[in-house]
Amino acid sequence: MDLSFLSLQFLNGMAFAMTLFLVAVGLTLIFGLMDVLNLAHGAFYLVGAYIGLTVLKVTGNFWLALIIAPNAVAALGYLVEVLVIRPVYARGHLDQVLLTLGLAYILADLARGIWGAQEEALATPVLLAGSVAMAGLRFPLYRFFVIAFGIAAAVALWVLIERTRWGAMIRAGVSNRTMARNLGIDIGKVFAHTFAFGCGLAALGGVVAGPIIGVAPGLDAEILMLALIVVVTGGLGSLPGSFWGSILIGQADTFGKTLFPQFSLFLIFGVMALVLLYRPSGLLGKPQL
Amino acid sequence: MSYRFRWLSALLMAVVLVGLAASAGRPAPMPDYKLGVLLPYSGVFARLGESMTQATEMYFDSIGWTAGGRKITLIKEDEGVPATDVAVRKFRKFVEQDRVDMITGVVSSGSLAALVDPIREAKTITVISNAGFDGATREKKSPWLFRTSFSNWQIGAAQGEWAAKNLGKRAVTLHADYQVGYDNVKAFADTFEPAGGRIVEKIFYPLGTPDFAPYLARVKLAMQNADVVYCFAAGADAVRLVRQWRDFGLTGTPITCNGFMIGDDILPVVGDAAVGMKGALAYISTLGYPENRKFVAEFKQKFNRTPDVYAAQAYETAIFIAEALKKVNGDTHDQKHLMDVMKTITFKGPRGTFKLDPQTQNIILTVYIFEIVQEGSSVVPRVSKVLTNWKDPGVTK
Repeated sequence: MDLSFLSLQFLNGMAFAMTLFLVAVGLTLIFGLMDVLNLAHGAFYLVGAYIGLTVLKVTGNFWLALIIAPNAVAALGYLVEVLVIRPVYARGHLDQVLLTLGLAYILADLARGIWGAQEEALATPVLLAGSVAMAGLRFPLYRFFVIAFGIAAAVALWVLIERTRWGAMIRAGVSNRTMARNLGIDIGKVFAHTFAFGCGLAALGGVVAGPIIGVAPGLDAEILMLALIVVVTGGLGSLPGSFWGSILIGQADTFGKTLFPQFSLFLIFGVMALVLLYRPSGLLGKPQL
Repeated sequence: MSYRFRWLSALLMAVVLVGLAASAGRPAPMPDYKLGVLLPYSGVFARLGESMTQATEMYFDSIGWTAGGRKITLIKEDEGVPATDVAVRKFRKFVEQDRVDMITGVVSSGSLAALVDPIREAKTITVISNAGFDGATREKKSPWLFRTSFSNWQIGAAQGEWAAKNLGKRAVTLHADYQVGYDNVKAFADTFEPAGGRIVEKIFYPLGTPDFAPYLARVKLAMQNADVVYCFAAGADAVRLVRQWRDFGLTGTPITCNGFMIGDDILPVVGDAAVGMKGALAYISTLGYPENRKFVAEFKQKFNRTPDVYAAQAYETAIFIAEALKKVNGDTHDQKHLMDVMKTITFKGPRGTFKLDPQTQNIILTVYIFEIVQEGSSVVPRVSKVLTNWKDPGVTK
């Protein structure tokens, strides 16, 4: 097990981590602002991947799928927030969890009704189809794209949250909802937009990961679980937390599978438990009062 | 009691007696033959259940839903994979509530393992049309259990011997970390090793692995000291594995896999990523038998897609049941006789000549070795070798 093998695995870990990041960041954004743990997040990922698949099949253009699917799912998320989630903000976490879980089942079943039960995969864009030689092994070009895309998305999100007016409104909403409302911010609108944006990010993850992971019934639950692990490890509601949490979990998973294959199922849970033991609110989470 | 009432009851009695006498003169119409179908209609195996049901109904349609003078009716229930208690509950419902005459189906080995005891207790003839759990026709076998599909051992074992003779003596194995995966690799080793082969490294991955990158890098490393990869994957894992195999530049690395990984259902999704892979399976749609050509054409016309191995198995299972009913002329009172007849049923189907091993009541399997090749713009499986007469060894001491 030499250095080139390990560096290849590091790249694999990064590619997986960036996929996780795109999904987890939407989840953490929604939780941070709205205090809603959206268990339908995996279902939005699934629907996004399926819409991407359809666009890809019809137009043959991956980049079009990458634009259309997140926007379509964001629109769906907007409707869901206004019609379904808004009425239960005052009802506490348990009701919200039950509601979004129910929503997850409905969306997943609808997806099966529309797209069927056959496992599918998004075709890799021709531009990125090859692989490059790396010290005797090969690394797929597309995964470089995923890594670059994930890092670019993280930077863009950071700028959006920290440097724009909309980001400032979100941050205001996160730190004190009542005060923000008194300052004249339409908090209901910010909520709906953020929820839609988070769902769109999940769909973006679905399309970006589509050529690697594919899309099939049941994927929503697998993805939701990974996203929850990342978000809890990184700190609920923290944007940088979801970035570093993704990298930690992605690398732990990849190296765990390589070095200790017999523990691979347990390993990421072990890492999460270890983090929580020393930092109960996650890597970069705010301590709960 | 009034006179009028006594008169009325006497009249009624007379009517009933006359009716009975009249019907005794001609034989009563035989009741419908009720077939309980237990297949997954939800969850990850839902499309297998759908494919099998379509093929079953297609065959019964073609014979007008009658065999041996009995009208055949289906009662369908969801196997509820991955839970195994659902299958047992639905099986009991078939037996106790619906009082079916025979049961067929079951996709998952897990469900079958849970069902072997209930089948023995219920004494209801059950024809397994997919699940490969070896024990069902070995130490757990019972006279009521027939299997028309395969045992996990049969495919792996047929392939192991062939691989040792044709692909090289040192193998790396890659399979899912669950019972069927281990059984499969063990079956492969059972014949690969006596034929001079050696397994140099065993790699396994959790079921539902999104990213195969870490495993593929290990395969690549291990292949420095090996000749061939033997692989077992199914469902979404198969799609990801085959595609990522190509993405990591492993195309060209000798690989042979259990044919489920590159079967007719997976091939349209993975496309040319599978080119060069060699599989072993009891059915592939390009088999040249006239019975298969007819089956494929009919299925394509009706459902607008190529039938897969699951459809072929269910189709032959339907033929098998209908042939048995014909042979006993629809008289199924003597279950012992019916079962003896079932052991001897043989016919030509899409998979070739169908025949059971009377010892185990498990099919004697013909295993096809096929390679995925590019033909013009389409990717097709081409059969390169036919391995006949693979019997499950049954109970081995």
